[in-house]
Formats: sequence, structure tokens, C-alpha cells
Amino acid sequence: MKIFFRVMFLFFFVILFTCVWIGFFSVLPYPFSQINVAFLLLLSFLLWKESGIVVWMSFAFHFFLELFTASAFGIVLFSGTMTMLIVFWLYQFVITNRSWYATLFLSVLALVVYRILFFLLIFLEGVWSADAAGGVSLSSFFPFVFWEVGLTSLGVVAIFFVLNFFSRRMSTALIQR
Amino acid sequence: MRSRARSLFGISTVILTVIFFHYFGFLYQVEEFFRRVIGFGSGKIYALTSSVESAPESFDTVDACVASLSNCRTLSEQMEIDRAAFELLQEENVNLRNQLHFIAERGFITVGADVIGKNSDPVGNILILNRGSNDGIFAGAPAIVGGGLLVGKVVQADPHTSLLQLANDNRSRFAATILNRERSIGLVEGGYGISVEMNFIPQNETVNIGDQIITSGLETPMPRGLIIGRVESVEKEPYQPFQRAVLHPAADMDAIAQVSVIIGY
Repeated sequence: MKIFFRVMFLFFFVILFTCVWIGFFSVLPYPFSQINVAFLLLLSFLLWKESGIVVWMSFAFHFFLELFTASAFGIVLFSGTMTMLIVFWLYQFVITNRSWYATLFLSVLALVVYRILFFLLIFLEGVWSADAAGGVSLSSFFPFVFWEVGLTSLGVVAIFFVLNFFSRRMSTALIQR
Repeated sequence: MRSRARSLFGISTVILTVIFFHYFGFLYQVEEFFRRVIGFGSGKIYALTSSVESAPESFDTVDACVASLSNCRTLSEQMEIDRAAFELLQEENVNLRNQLHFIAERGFITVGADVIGKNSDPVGNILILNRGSNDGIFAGAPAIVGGGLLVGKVVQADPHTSLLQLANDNRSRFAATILNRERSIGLVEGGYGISVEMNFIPQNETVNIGDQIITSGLETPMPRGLIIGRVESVEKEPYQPFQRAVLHPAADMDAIAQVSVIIGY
């Protein structure tokens, strides 16, 4: 029963922050509208709980975002979920410690991997649909991705410091497997 | 290593199953339910954000306030003069049209929709509307604000919500006409949420800064005469068959709260 309520709480939490992202963060002036709220919260959750449930939270978050995206269904879902899975493995087996620079590195890596997978799938969608107008010029997206990676990573590091201030749980130490 | 491979396999299977179910329509009810829930929530938050952004203007000094008031009075007087001239012209226009047996009214059939959110992914500049196919909206329908200012085109119409691709989105394309002497035709394309350009304008036709751009009516279901913007600059290279114009959009893409979607004319 306790697990059920915990799952329902996380589910409600994901729906709430999807609403906040679409209705608030997306309408902030550029470049603040580029903050990736999903990864901001998921990475913070990963640092706090160190649980694999973050991958399923990522699945839910990106499924809801997929409902409001004009690109082919599955692109955002696949790239978001797979990125979180890769990040979780990296956190458990490669980075293995909790510090602000490890957090920064993890955040930058997560967003870079996400955008690589995302643009790869967008490119494949363009090839599949033979839509010349759907082709993208990668160099034009660099400013957007730069701001997304920069601001989101700074946000994650800021959350790390806040959590570190209020709880011993975030103290610099080897993570528990 | 084996447990990681199992996790990867398991999650990939779930994702592919969801994608498969989506394309075969098995998830339709679930998706609609979450669209309505999230649309409701984001709509409330977006309305709050819009009301904060449209707060009254503030001034640093009394002189700035007085100058702004004086400016408003001058503009108001000018508008009264323009209104009188407009009414005379309107009357003349009606008389001429009656003489030529021309149908005056455009007779658009529209659906009003509120904007409940925005997707600012780098690939798309999309607004989310709270009306969908149940209200008559369909993919390809144009959306306007004000008195015929084109905002964009609907790209996806679900039963209760729809996605509106703005004119400055990089995948946005409209057949357009310049209101110049030659009535040049070309293709208006968006540029990654920042700019709007008109391409494929014949090199030998004259395009001036300030010329107005309207929809040409050459693509269905886009009616003719919706205002897209004005020419801001012209790029012309010798020995190229076409020239290009950078446009200033008529509608403010960053401050849209309600739109009218044209579903018939």
C-alpha cells in the first residue's frame, strides 16, 4: 500500500511539472525558456534518491511531453528515457561520487546525449518521410542547445547545493549501490 | 553486465510497445485523458503567466509618465483623423463594389481558441490550443489574430486540443504575395523561432522595404488576403534567379493569448 501511494505521488508530481513546464517555463523570455525542466528535476531526483525509478519517471515525463509535440510519436519518449537509463548507469558505475563538479559533468553529459539521440531520430524521421522541408540544419540549433545545457546544468548544481545545505544525505561520499 | 542488458531490453520493449500501441490507436483514450488533464493545468498556469506579463506599464520619473501621456494624446488625435478618413473611404469602397457587383464580406467561418501552453523545443515553435477536431479544427487550418493577421497553421488536431505551428517556426511554409506593382509571389518560411523570410521572389521584380505581404490563396485551405507582415530588408545577389526578403511579422508571436482558426470561407 505504501508503495502504491508513493507511485501515485510520483505520478502526480510528474503531471504537475509537465503542466508547469508547458504553461510557465516555455513562455519565459529566451534563453530561460530553454531550461529543460524534465532533466532538471530528474537529475535532482537521481542525486537525492539514487534509485532506478528515475528512469520510469523519465518515461512518464517524456510520454506526457510527447502528447504536445508535433514531431513523430516516440522521438521524445525514446531519447528521454534512454538518456536517463544511460545517465543512471554512469552515475552508478562511472561517476560514483556526489560532488558539485560530478553533478555538473553528469548534467552536461545527460543533455548532450539526449540531444544527440533526439537529433538523430529527427534526421531519420526526415529521411523516412522524404520531407525536404523537415530537414534540419544542426548548426542553427547550437545556440539553443548551448543555452539548454548551460542553464539546466547550472540549475541542477544550484539544487545540489541547496539540498547539500539542508541535508547530510547529499554529503560528498561514495554513492550507495 | 547481464542485469544492465536485461534493463535495456526491458525498457526498450516497453517503449516500442507504447509506440506500437500509439500508431495502432490502442492508447487513444489514455492519451486524450492526459491531454485534457495537462491541458487544463497548463492552461490555468499560462493564463496566470499572461496576466502577469500584461501588467500596467511603470515609469521611472514623473516626466516620463507625462511624456507618455502626451504621446498617447497625440496618437489618439491622429487616430480620430484617420478614422474619419477611413469611414469616407469605406463608404466609397462599398459604392464601388456595389457598382461592380462584387461580394463585400469575406464570410470566414472561424473557431475561437485560447492558448494554453507552448512547446519551445528547438525543432518546433508550437502553441497549444484548447480547441480541437470536435470543434471543427483540422490540420492545415490557418489561425489569425486581430483583423486578419496570420499567426500560423494548425499541424495536429486532436479531439479537444490542437497544435498551432507559428509562422516563424523553421518548418512553416506559406504561399504569399507581395503587395507591390508586380504582385510578386513567393514562399514565406520561418527561421527557428526568430525570423520570417520570403524566398523565391523573381530577381527582376521590384521589392521595396515596407511592402506588405499577404497570403496568395494558392494553397488550400489558406484564403487569400491574410496579412503576414512587411518587408524589412531585401537580399539580392547578381546572377541569382531569385531574391529574398526578410519580413517583420504583423502579429506579435510572443504575446498571443487567443486566436481565431479559419475552418471555412
